[in-house]
Amino acid sequence: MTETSKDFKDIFTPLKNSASGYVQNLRQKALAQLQNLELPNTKHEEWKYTPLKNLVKEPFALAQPTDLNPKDFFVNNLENFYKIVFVNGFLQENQTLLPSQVEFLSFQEAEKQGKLDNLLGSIAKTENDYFNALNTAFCDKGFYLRIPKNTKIDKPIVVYHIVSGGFAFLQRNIVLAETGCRASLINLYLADSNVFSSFTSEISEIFISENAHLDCYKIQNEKNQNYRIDTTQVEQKTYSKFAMTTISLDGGLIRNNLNVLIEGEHCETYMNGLSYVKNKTHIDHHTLADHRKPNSYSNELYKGLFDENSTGVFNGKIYVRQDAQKTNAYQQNRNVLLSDKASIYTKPQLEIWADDVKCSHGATTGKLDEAALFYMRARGISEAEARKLLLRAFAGEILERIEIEELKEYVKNLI
Amino acid sequence: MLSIENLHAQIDNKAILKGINLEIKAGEIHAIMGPNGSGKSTLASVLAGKEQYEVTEGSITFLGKNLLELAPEERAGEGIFLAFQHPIEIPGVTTTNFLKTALNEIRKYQGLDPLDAVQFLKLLKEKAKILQIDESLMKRSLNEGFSGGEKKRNEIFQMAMLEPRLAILDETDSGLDIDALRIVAEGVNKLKNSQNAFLIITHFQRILDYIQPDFVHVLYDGKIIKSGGKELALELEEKGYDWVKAEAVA
Repeated sequence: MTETSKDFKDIFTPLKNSASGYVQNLRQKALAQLQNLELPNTKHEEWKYTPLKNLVKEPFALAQPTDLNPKDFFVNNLENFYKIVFVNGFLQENQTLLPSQVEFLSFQEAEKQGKLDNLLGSIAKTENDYFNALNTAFCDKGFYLRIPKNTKIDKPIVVYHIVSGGFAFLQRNIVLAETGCRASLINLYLADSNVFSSFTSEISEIFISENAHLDCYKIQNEKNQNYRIDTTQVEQKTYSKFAMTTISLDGGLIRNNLNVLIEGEHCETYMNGLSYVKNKTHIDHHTLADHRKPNSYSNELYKGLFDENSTGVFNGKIYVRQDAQKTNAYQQNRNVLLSDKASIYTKPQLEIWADDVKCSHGATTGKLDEAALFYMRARGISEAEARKLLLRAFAGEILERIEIEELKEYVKNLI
Repeated sequence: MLSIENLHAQIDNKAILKGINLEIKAGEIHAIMGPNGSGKSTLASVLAGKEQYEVTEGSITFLGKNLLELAPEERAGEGIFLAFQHPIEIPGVTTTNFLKTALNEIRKYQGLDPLDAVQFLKLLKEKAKILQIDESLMKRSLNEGFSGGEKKRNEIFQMAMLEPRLAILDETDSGLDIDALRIVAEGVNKLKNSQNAFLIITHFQRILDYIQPDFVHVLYDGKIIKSGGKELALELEEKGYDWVKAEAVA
C-alpha cells in the first residue's frame, strides 16, 4: 500500500520548489507529513464508499500548458460577467476580466508578494489529510482574490476550470471577502469529451469577514473520466453570509469536501447541492457546518438523482460547539434512485455540545413516485415525459435557490 | 362506446373481478354502487390501465379498440379519464404546467396541433369559471396541501379541461361536504352531452340526487349482481345491500 501511494505523489515531485519563506515552510511541513500518510482507501472512515484504488493505475502525466482555445468552452449566457480562466490548472492571464476594485494575482505572484503569508494553510489543515498535504506540499498554481472592504461587485465572477487530456494537476486558491463586501463567484468545471482520465486536487480557502456576503456556485460538468478531489474550506465572521450551491452533473469520480467554520455570531450559511448523474459517475459530498459561536443559522439541502451505474455518497456533519448556544442548524438529504444499478450511501451526522439549540436533520432515499407516474400517464402524459416532469420538479427546489438568473437558465438547460 | 365482457382481474394472485359485463353508450350516465371490497375501485383502475392489476379473462372494447392493449397514456388519448379516489400530490409541478402538458400530449395523440400559451390560458379561465375553481390554485403545486374537497374539485376541473369521451368518477363524492358535492355534480351536468358518457362509482346514493343516472348497477364480490334505473339507488339507500345479495344467491 505504501508503495503505490508513494508512486502517486511522485507525479508531482517535479513541482518541488526552492523558494523560501512562509509558503515554502508550509510546503516542507506538508511534505514531511505526506511521507507518513497513505492514499486513502475504503478502510478510512471518511473514504468508506469512495474507492481510489484505480487512481494509482492511471497513467497520469503532470500537466503542461496546452494550446487549447478556452473560448470554445465559454458559456454564452454568462459572457457579460467577469472572468477568470484556468486550463489544466494554468491561469490564462490574457482572458482575465475583472473589475478594478478587486485585487487578483496568480498563486506564484501572490507568493512572491507575501500575500499568502499566514493565510495559506491556516484553515485547510494538512495533518492526517492526504490530499490537503499533497496539495500543500506542491502547490504553485491557482489564484489569490481579495474583495476589498465595503466593495460591491456589480456582476458575478465566473471562474472557468477547463480540463483537457490525461493530466494531473493541483490548484490552490485564496479568497478574501473583506468586511461588508458583496460578491458572487461561479466556478464552472468543464472538460473536453475525450476518454482520458485526469486528476485534479483543488483547495480553496475562503475567508469571509464581518458583514460580508459571498454567494458561490460550483457547476461540475466534466465530460470525461476526471478524478476531482475538491476541498472548500470556509471561515465566517460575525454577521457574514455564505452560500454555496453545488450542481454536479458529470465527471468520473468527484469528492467535494465543503467545510464551513462558523467563527462569528449571527452568521447565515447555506449549502445547497444537486447531483444528477449517470454512467459510472461517482459523486461524494462531505460537508461540515461547524458552529463555534452562538446565534448563527445554517441550512443545508442536498438532493440527488442517480441513474444507470452511478453512485452517490453524502456525509453531512453539523457540529454545535458548547459555546454555540441559540444555533439554528438544519440539514436535509433527499435522493432518488432511477436505476436498479445506482447506489447512494447517506450519513447525516449531528453532534451537539450546547443545550439551547434548534437542529434537525434527515435523509430519504427512494424511487420515482410510481403513483405520481401513473397519475400523469392516466392524464395522457407519456411515461418519458412524466419522468422528465418529476425529475425537473425534484431538481427545481435546488435550481430555484440559484439567485443569478442567467446561471439558473444555463443549468436548467443542462438538465 | 364501452363494452366490457366477462372481465376477470386479479392483484397479487387474488381474484377481485370475477366476470363483469357492462355496456355503456354515448350520452349515458351509469352508476356503480356496492359495499366496500366489492371491486368498484379495481374496475376503475383496470379501465385506466393500472399495471398492478392483471386481467386474466375477458375483454374491454372502447370505441372499437381493444383497450387492454393500450398503455394508460394511450387510453387517455382515446378519451378515457379517471377521476382518482385519492388524487396524487406532485410537489414542484404546478397544476397549470401539468394540465398544459397533459392536454397537448392528448392533442398530439389525436393528431391535433398543440395549444399555445394564450389559447391554453383562455380555456383554463373558461373552465375554472364553470367549476368555480380559484385560479390561484392553478399556480400551486398539483394537489399539494389541497384539502380533500379541493383535490376532488381539481379532478373534475381536469376532466373539464381534457374533455374525455368516457369519464370514470371513482368515489369522487366521498369526503365532500354538501356544497362541494353540488359543485362537482353541477360540473358533471354541464359537461354531459350526447357524445360522452360517465361511469360514477360511489358508496352513497347522495350524489345521485344531483346527477341523474340512466342506469344503476350493483357490484358485489367482483360481479354485477343487479342492474336497474335510478330508482334502484333509492331502494339501496333505504334497504341496504343485503336483499340484493340474497336475491343474487337465490
